[in-house]
Amino acid sequence: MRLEVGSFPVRDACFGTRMGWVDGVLEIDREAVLAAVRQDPLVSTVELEIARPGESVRIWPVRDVVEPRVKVNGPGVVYPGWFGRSIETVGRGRTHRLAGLGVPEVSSVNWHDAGGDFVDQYLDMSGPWADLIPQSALVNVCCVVEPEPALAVQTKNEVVHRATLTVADQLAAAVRDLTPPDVEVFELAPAAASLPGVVYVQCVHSPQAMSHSEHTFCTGTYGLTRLAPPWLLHPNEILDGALSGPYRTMFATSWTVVNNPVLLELYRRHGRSLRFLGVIVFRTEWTTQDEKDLMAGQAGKLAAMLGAHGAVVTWDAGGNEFIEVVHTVRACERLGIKTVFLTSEDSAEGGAPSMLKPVPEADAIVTTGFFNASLLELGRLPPVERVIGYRSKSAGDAVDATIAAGEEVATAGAIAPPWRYDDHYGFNRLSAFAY
Amino acid sequence: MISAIYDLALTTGASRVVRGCRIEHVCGNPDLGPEKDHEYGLTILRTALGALTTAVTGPTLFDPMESSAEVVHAS
Repeated sequence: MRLEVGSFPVRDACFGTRMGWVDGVLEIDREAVLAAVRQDPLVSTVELEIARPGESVRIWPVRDVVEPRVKVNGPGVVYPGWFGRSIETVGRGRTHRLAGLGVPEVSSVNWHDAGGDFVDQYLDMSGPWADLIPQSALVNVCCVVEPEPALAVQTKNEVVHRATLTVADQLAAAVRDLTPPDVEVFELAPAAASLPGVVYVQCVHSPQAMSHSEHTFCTGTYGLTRLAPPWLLHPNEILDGALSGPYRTMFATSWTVVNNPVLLELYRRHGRSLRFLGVIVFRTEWTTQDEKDLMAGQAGKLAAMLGAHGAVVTWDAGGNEFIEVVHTVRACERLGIKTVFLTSEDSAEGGAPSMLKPVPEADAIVTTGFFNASLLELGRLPPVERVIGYRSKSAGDAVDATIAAGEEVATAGAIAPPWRYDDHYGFNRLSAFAY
Repeated sequence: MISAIYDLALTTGASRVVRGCRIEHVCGNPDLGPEKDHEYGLTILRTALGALTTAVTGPTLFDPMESSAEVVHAS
């Protein structure tokens, strides 16, 4: 499976009369893009707005950020499986991408009506929060979209994400037939057997148990987020967006997963210092002890059958899902597979352990910080000159965990950062010292 | 402590842990229908009450589906 990825760097974007990419500047025919979105009769309103790094702009709320990609040749479509998109296996041929550009998905639509999940993520384009969030360094072409109000919440979610993917498709089409300034070839070519085989176990949350939704939100595998036994994906499939979707943290957006430094670094070391064997995508939030242990055992078995000497394990959630994740680490270790675990930590306040369950086999852990953004002690983030999206936020509308029910807050003002800072894949540059 | 994820409860040092059903419905199972669900819930509760009157020396698992307590110490 060979994939050429052609990158078109974007340093600025502007609205104009045609679609085109010239020397790092993307010109966008706004009306043409909006017309493509409005072909969906379930879209009520849609707008496009551009936010550039360094501007005094806040984008609120942000449900996803999508990197525009397009298949130039090879089977299937990028970000496959979502809401009617082709489910043909991707990862072959050539894909073009707009590097440094994101399409934030902005809408007041809640994930589901079951409660407990908050759409409280936002992007600042400058200031202390922007310094910590990788998507704040992108030229962001925001898709602000509302579905028809009478629809059920699951259908609303479909409409919103489909609109975002349509915008991304329209933007990426501008570079489909151009010659990219940079092409990287991704292929798991035969490598020396003396190199250690390494598998990447990427654990991704399933919303099924708590929201009873099979695909409302979260990182989907070909659009599916339901609880299912582990998948084996070729890393090229992930580079074509086979693992993507909206989520409640900036560290698990569609943009995040296709730019995951763990995936890319393992790939670039293939044939040099290791043999990259593939990606086990492990769906989490099973709700009995037996299911958790069964899936952990199966993930370890898959890794062993692939011939892994080593494994890297990441996850994108918190809470009880830690059990099947850390039991996967244990299962791999017990099969003789040296395993490294990347994780954010829970707050250690009051002497509590910073991980839910200590497991002796988890003896190589890389911390990427704490889940809770309040521990960064940023205080309230400074006001901004312009808001893209919604000018106020309140509980019960686009629900936000940082404010009390009934309270109405101006989003342009000084507000608390989103409460999650869960850098699952090591994007950040935070460091720590012992004293 | 009644817990669906009983392994975690044992590890954190709870003395008496009763095996619950699922995270979504710890003390019952709606799939069983009202009568059997009630019966199952009662069994869990009686197991919990029985656990309270049982002397233990460390974290111990009580399984409502078994008549006697299965002694499992946290590893």
